[in-house]
Amino acid sequence: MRLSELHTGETAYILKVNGNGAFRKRLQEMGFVRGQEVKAILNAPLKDPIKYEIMDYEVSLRRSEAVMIETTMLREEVEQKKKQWQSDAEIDTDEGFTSRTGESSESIIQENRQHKVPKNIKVALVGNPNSGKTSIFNLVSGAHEHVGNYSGVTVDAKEGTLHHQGYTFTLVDLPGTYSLAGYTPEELYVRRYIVEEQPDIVINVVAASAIERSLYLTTELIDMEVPMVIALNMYDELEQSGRKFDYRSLATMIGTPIIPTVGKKGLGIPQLLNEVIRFFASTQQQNASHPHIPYGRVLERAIEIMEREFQHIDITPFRLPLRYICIKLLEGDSEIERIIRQLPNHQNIFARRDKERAYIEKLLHEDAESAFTNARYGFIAGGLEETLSERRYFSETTRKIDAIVTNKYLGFPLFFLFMWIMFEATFKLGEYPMQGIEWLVEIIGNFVRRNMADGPLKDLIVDGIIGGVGGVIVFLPNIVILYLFIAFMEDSGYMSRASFIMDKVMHKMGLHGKSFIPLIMGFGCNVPAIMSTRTIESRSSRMITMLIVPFMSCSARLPVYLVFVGIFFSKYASLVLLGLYVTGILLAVLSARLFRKTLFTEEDTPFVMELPPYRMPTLKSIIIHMWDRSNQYLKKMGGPILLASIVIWFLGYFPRNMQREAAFDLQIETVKRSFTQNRIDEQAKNTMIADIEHIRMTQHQENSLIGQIGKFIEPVMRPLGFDWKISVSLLSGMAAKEIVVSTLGVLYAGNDDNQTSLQERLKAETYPDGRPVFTPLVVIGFLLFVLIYFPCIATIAAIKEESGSWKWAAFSIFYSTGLAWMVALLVHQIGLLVAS
Amino acid sequence: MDIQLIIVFIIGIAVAVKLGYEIYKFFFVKKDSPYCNGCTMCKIPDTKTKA
Repeated sequence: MRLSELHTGETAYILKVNGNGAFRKRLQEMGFVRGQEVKAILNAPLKDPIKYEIMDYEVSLRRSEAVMIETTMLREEVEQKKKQWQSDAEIDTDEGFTSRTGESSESIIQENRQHKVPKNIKVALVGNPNSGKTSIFNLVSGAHEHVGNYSGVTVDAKEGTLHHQGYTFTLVDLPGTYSLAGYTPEELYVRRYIVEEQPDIVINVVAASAIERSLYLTTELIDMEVPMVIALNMYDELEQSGRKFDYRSLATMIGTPIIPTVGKKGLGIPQLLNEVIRFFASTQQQNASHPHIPYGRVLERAIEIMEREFQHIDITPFRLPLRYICIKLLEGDSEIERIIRQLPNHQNIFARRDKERAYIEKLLHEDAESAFTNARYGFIAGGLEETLSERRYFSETTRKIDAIVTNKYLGFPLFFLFMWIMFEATFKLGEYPMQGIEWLVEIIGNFVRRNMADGPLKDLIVDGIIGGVGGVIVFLPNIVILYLFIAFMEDSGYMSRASFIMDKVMHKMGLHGKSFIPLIMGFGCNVPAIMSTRTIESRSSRMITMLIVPFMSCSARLPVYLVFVGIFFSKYASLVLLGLYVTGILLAVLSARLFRKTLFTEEDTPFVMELPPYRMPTLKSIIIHMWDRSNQYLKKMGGPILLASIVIWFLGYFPRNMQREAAFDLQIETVKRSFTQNRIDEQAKNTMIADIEHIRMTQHQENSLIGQIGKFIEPVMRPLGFDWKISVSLLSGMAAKEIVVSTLGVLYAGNDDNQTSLQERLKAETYPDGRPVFTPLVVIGFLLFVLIYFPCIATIAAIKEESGSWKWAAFSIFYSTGLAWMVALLVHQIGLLVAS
Repeated sequence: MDIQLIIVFIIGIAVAVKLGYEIYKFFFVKKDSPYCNGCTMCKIPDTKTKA
């Protein structure tokens, strides 16, 4: 029977994985190997994908992928098959650890000699996604790298340093990978890093909650003969499950020290570092030997024959062990093949390799790649058989929560409910501290106005700096609250579930299920969201996701929304906010379908995604996250926003027309004289002076540099209902979206007497004929424009880096800006028609 | 010349220099995390300075 036919709660044993290439390899690396027990846990709300439990962890597969796996529910059948597989291959699975010199692991680590051992240690952290590498890295190096509870958060190597016991450690946190097969960018990156950078020690972080699967990567690292120490992380979860694990025996078997750790609490970390020092000192000795994985008689013979082909070849430039090169050649690794092609006699090597591969397939009834994968898992299973007791029972809490959030009927409504709660809280809870900050900004503005002598410096401080920066800083509480919710959803594991629910929907959009996480990250900031598309194996899905991430309304746009929504749609504020975000999502969906049909028509790759257990994020991690976010926002105030506000002010202040100013001064004098002569009362005087000042300011702004820029682009924006000030603010928003608000703050500066809030000034702004500049229709068009056109230069630069060309970055600019213009035009013109 | 105007011009020159430098860095200086371009919203560290 096929795996897809397994009903919820049923268990079966794998007989065969059909298909070929990356798909099959990926499944095997995830643990879908013959003889392995698998249980169907849950169907997704739309019956695809399906969740399975295998090798102590949960994974989701699409129905079309599950169909490719042959299974049997009869244990006797698989036992018979195992005997047949064994007798065909004459595989000796009783071998334990062997080393080249035949020594025990203890004697391999010899005593320190008298000669000096270098005091700098370069350490690379390698492990599966979600194994806790970054937690350990953060703890050890003091960095605040973000830890998300879904695959793909660390997409680049990060470095940190620490000093311990007189040694200087340089730690490098590499991206999470399941193997080093080289199918995905992360796998290639990690492999190349290890080969080229030659770290002194590799800390292989193994998740104790998924030992069997995690050790697959360990076997590959053993093949690479890298000096390694294993950190058995999340050890507390293993202990809580009631299982017993004799890690010391396993360490002896594989010749690699194993140290239990609990990364998020810092337990075991000093011991880990001490072990790294001890192991590093031992590897400085010349005759340190390396453990090997025993692959059985057939495969070992093939490796030996391949090694003989390299007898007279110098492989030192490859910086890889000979055994590893031979194993990878037999597996058909394209990266190793590319390296071997550089050799003059590569044809002979490839000819011998092909013969050996045919021999392996004939004897073992499977291709060489699968044979090696099965042998690795066989070795792991053998080792764990002797050291790990009792099967783990999955946390009941995780099961109960999953039964609700991934429920057929409740899954989607719950997801949208969580989103609505997030926006409602952002707006409502943020309102109180926002008013406080607003009050403070007003106080400071009025203080300067009343106590400083009139002049350009006063104008710069009040209208430029306070007007610009003050207009943006008030939204700090809203930003922090939004990130609190995003961080909680990421760190708790809910994001993975959301991907699981949304996979079928993503597929209908022409996307991969893994695209969902970058899209959700885009609600925070589009730049890391675009970078995280690296985790998507399929290039077409990766490109489409990259191009639609800008439609995910990032946190930088939030201040713009809040300024207008608060004053023009105060009764339905959170609904309007939600509507904007949903519009962005809808446009992303439509664009994805369009791109899939026209620009990227390639086949998709399988959706195989790990589902980690739910974890309660610690208060410490949430506070660190909030502090980091606030810090970054405040730095932005002091940096780009301040610069932009000053620049906008300069463009709006110069050139000065002294004759025009003198004429207005004369008018004001005339009014004052009229008042002195009792020809007009005080109220009339104040009104006339205010009108003259307003006209002075308007004429001055229109004739300033910024006015001229605005007037130049106004004809294009006029059909959208935007005047030149709105157009200029949108232009300034190319640097960063918050600058839209600071530009509005500068252009719509308050009068001399009182610093009013930006919202009040915007609402009061009128054309010369008295019509309000900002009507609800204009505001909707404006907000949609801000939503749709590209978020900022940093996002465009990220697209360029990830796509590898400026072509796609330029396409993103023109596509998003063109779409924004069209949507705003339609909304405005249709709105006018309906109104009339 | 008014003292306030002088101060404003000094500030203007400083801002222009800073802006020019940032634009120069964006186009001509290769960064370890080139796609950040001064945006610190995702806090990717400069690997070289931490080494």
